[in-house]
Amino acid sequence: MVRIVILGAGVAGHTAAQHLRRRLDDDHQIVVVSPNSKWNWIPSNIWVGVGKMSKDDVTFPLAPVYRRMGVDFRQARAVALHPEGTGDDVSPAVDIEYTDPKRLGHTERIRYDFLVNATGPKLRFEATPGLGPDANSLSVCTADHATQTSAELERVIDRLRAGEPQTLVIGMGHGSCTCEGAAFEYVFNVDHILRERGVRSMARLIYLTNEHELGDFGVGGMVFGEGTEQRTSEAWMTSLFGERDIEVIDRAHVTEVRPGVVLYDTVDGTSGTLGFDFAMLLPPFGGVGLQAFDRVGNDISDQLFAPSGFLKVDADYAIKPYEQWSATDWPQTYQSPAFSNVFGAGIAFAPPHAISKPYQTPSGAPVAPAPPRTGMPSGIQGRTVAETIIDRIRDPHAPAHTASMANMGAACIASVGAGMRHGAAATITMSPIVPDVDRFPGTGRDPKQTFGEIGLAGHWLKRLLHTMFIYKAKARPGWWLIPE
Amino acid sequence: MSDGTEPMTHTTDINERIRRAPRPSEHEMRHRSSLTRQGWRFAVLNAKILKLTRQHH
Repeated sequence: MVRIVILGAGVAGHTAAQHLRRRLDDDHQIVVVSPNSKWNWIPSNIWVGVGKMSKDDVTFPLAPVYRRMGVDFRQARAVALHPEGTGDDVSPAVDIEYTDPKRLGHTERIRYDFLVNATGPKLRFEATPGLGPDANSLSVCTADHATQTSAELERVIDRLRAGEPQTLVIGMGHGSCTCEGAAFEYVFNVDHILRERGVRSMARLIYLTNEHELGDFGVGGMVFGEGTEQRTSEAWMTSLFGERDIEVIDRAHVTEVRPGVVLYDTVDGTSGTLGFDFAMLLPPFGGVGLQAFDRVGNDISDQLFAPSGFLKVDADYAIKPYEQWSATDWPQTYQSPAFSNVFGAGIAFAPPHAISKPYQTPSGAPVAPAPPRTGMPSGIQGRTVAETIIDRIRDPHAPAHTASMANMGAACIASVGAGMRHGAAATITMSPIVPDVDRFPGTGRDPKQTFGEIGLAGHWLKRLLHTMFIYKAKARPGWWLIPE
Repeated sequence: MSDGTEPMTHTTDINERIRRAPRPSEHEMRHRSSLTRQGWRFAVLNAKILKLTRQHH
């Protein structure tokens, strides 16, 4: 019997658990450890944040699904890894601390044969003083955050209806944030709903971002099409922001959020203060703070984890200038170089470097969008790691499966307003995610598969994906036919 | 843009570019919401995404 422990039940971890359970015999045990009782389709949180969906529309309880699947679910957070075992027991182990109300605070040590670290991020609101829903700004990172944000947006709309002008600031709460696409979606959805309610003219809408150019999205921007039809994502986004009369502050690092005021520095050396009535600012991400110990209890966290707290995998982490970054730096197998039975997937693995060119403010603060590892790439990584483990159970020397982000394409359906008749979304595809100028001289991406368009069809597509991926995550009949 | 601080060259510049950016034609706006056109685009976009998911990594 082999025991596989998966830390995290987001897109990467849950996908890995589903494929492992489907393809392994019942005498192998799959344990999923997640501090959350519910699965959340995070891409739809932006619709919760504007009141178009409820929390229940984007979440479902994990325990019944895992019970039906035959997966051992522990609602707990992992606190320490012992990849060499402990004391006289050489079996690797992970220490967990329960978060479910019945066993709150109780700890347990679980032995494992294989470990998948798919914890997702820690939301590092503390990186910027005053940032976050417990302080002076709002978030849509979780369904609860989005519900709170939606209620606050309703209060803003009430004030607009009463004739009181409002300033809404939406974007990134730190220079090293990722998920610019989510902030883009949210600012456009807020614009859409303010127009629906007939109060847009009273509102000033500002997009505050760490991107060096609009349309960067943490992937260094994109070039769509070929020849005379060629168009940059920057030009496209500039036009879309213009259509909607949304102001932009880019190249920015937020230094503090005070009640009603954002303070920020920009790459060109200016410092600004921006008064607001509503601010939805995303936090930077970090690892969840797992520690690792050897058999005698010495801290070996630096062997497994990067300084950011993310798991080091088979990437090239050598520090080198931007000009020397290469597609081959990116991991293929997501296997820890220190322990061959430990894997990382989704946001939990440490990227070798950013994709977008990093900048900083004159005071040295980073203005460098972190690379996105969510959605489609996360699911593919979860499945790839599961396939490697399945093969290794049958043959310990089996080669690892691969899925480099430098070979992988991705689709991003960015909502710009919900509604089956009057909604729209920007549908963006790119291949590969990490540009490879050796294979695709010039732009680094395949022009036939790097594409963007906006329209109602995009909204239908995003709504379809919402339904399909929740169906898949619930492990309903035929779920494996739905691609990651 | 800033409330009471000094002018910001880049921010002023980008917002000026946004204001001057070409707007979509009426034809384009009609396409974005035409049920016939968007039904066709829905099928095309699905096919494009499906093709991406079948890539060898």
